[in-house]
Amino acid sequence: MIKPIIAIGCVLGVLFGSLVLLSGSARAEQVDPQQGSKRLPRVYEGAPPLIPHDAETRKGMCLACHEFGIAGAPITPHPTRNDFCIQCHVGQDLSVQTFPPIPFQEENRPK
Amino acid sequence: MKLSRRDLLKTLTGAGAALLSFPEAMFPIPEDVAEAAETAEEWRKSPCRFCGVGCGVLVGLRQGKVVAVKGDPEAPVNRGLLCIKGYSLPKILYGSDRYRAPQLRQGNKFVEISWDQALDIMASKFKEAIEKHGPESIAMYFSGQTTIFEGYAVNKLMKAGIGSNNIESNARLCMASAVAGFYSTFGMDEPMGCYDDFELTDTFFVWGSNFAEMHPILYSRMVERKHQDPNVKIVSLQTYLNRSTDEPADIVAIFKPHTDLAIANAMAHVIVKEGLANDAFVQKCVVFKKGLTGIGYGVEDNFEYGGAAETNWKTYRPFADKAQTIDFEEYKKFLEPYTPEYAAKLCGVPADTIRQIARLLGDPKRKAVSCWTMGFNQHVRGTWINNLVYNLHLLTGKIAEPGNGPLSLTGQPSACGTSREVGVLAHALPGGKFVANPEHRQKAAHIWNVPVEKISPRPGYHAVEMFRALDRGDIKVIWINTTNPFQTLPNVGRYRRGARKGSERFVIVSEVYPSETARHADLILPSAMWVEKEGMVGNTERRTQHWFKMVNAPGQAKDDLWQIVELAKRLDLGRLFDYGEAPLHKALFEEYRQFGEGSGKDLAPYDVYAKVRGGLRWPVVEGRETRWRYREGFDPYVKKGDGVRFYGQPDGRAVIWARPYEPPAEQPDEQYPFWLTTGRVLEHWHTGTITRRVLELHRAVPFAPVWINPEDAGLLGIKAGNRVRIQSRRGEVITKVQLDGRNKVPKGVVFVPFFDENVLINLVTLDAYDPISKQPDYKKCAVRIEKV
Repeated sequence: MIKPIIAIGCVLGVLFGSLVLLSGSARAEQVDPQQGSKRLPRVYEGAPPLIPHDAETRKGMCLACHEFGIAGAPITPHPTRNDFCIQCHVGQDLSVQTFPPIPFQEENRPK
Repeated sequence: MKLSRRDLLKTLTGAGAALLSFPEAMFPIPEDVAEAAETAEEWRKSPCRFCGVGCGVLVGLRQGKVVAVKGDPEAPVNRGLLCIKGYSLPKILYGSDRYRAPQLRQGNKFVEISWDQALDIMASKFKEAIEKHGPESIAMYFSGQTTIFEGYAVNKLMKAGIGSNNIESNARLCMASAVAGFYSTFGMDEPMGCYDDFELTDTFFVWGSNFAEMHPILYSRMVERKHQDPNVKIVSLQTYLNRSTDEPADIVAIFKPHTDLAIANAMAHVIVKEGLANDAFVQKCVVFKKGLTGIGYGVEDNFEYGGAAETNWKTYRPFADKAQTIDFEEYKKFLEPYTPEYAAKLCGVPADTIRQIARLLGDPKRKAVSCWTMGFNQHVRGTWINNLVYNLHLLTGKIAEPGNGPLSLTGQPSACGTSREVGVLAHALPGGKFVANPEHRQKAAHIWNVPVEKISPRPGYHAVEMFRALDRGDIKVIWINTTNPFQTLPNVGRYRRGARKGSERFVIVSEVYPSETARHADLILPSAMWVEKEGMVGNTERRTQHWFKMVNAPGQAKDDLWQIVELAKRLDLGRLFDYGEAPLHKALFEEYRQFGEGSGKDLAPYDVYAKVRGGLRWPVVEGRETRWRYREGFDPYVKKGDGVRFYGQPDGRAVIWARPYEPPAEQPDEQYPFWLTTGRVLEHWHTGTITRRVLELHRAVPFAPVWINPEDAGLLGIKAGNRVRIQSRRGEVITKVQLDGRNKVPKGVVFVPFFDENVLINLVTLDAYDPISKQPDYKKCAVRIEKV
């Protein structure tokens, strides 16, 4: 029962891993996000790692790569917390800059 | 008192021995957690700043700054886990555009002024309005994020000092229907059960709540329960597919907006028809009632529910209804037309699925927990749908015991603790008391040491009417604190224009970052937030938690309690907060505690909350918290031999209400063919004022898209990423289209989150509200979509 799941997981994992490596970007929450394949720095020591690839369309499949570290994916230290990985680990559109993008201009508001 | 990590370990362990009456709440911080983030010099306890789940965090401090947080492994709510908003807490304090000094509007610009100037201006505006137009020309609009100390102080200032009840909390927009539901069914506010039910039940019913995103930690407790026991079933009833309908939900029912009224009645129909009702429980613990119908939608100014003098908001007690007692047979007759087939026609969920869900809830071998949030509460029949879900638990007797119970989830960290329990609402007094009740006024006047005539018996304006009054000019001066109404009010265009109409209107806003509301202010006051001040909050499961001030606020930013007391002094009401040598926070809390004592809302002394990790659930009687109310053996207010007693009601019986299906205020038509529903996303807190300043959260969800069904998009010639106009009879916004991802909407429905100030979706929403609770309905209005 478990072996076929691992096998399928591995196949999926290799598939997605190569996707990440080859394309370097993928679809995310926003339509044209700019994403890399490199690990992003943590916000502080102890903060959950950020996701450098699309997470939305691959939801429910995290363990395919992250259970055994397929294609260089970091191995999760808590594999039983599947089904809610994305409540702590979130994707990033690196083209987006700090908010607010322009200084607060009172003159323009309120209309 | 400052403690190093090791000191804290010692102190907490020592205190544990001294406080044996709270053994489950006192634990040392494990060494490995403390070691994990070496960047921090010191760790202290606090609840999370964000939602109503009430997770415990350990705050890592270094050189006067918050540098890290950890989920508190000993906090009973989250057991070491946090969501991404929680993990982002250290960064919320340090956005580059934080307000550092008071600012006064001069034309279209704001100029920095001193605190003395700001407070003098504020007080003079208050005094002028009171002298010219009476105390009811001023208003206070606070928040479910206001701490218990601040809420209690401002409530006292307004109700015992100024003598006006025009004080509301934004909790009116999120919890009022839940409150009205509790009062009408049980005669007393807040859940009977607690989160412990999540590990003790085997069947979950999630109604119109995407709690995978909005209450993530609670959701993960449900999922872990399911992982442990495959017998556990999760039923998710939603108006669109979202993370709460993903794995591991067993039954997913997508219903048309507003038809939950019909589904709940159809479930009751099945339970009664198939003999699944618990007759012994019903006979002993329940009465049946019916109330007014055709109660309207509150879209007009000065709307009065039912039109009858007895139900007048201004002169009669709130949540009034012309209740008529009926019997079980009459109730059965009422349910007769609500066959699953009839409901299926209205809601689009197959009749067999409704039967299956009803049988799961009615199965005497299974337990049942129901959870809901804004889908029920932001509903023009919000009180009714709350009543209807209680009906299901009362009919089956699955209530107020371990593993069985309805659990109304709260949105904000202290909507329960402050807005509801301290009564920072136009009709309420602290400790579950009402301004319209002469005995309650007497008690309040006694505790506050003011003449009873000072406390007005007339409820003030509720939230929507308060801003209508500002627009009309009936309100002259308003102080808005810890909330962003000019982004969040429904049909917000009217209220934004109203605020800037000039004349004698003066809008004061206490804020931490520039927000839509601050941009509409005349005077901006810079506030301290979260661990920059001492605070106390109360979560969904009646849990009260305390934290101390840990770092200084930036610049001249001051905490809201200081602002309230300074205003009081300038209004010659400083005596209300004169506690001599006693520390102010402690004195306020000890005074507040008297309101609930002996009435089922008992709180522990201040010193206990200051020490206890993870807080305590009220009523706290003789040092013991209460996990299940109304049940003998768990609740100290239920006498031996009583079994179950709903002591909020004079006869000790809860009410099963016959509440019919009635149509919503606005429905899609040829001109405006789509339902618009609004809500939140996991990464952003409400209007994003705080969370958008955290780069990682902003990069996760940088703007609010509109989710459209792919078939609808095809018919309109729209592709993902296209810009579209979303237009209603009230206003319009433009944003980009999203077809899938975390949400998938059914045909005829569009969803837009409200966090994005550049996609001000509340320009489009309708300011209809539940006439009983006065809570607006953000989940349904009619819109059209066109490509731009």
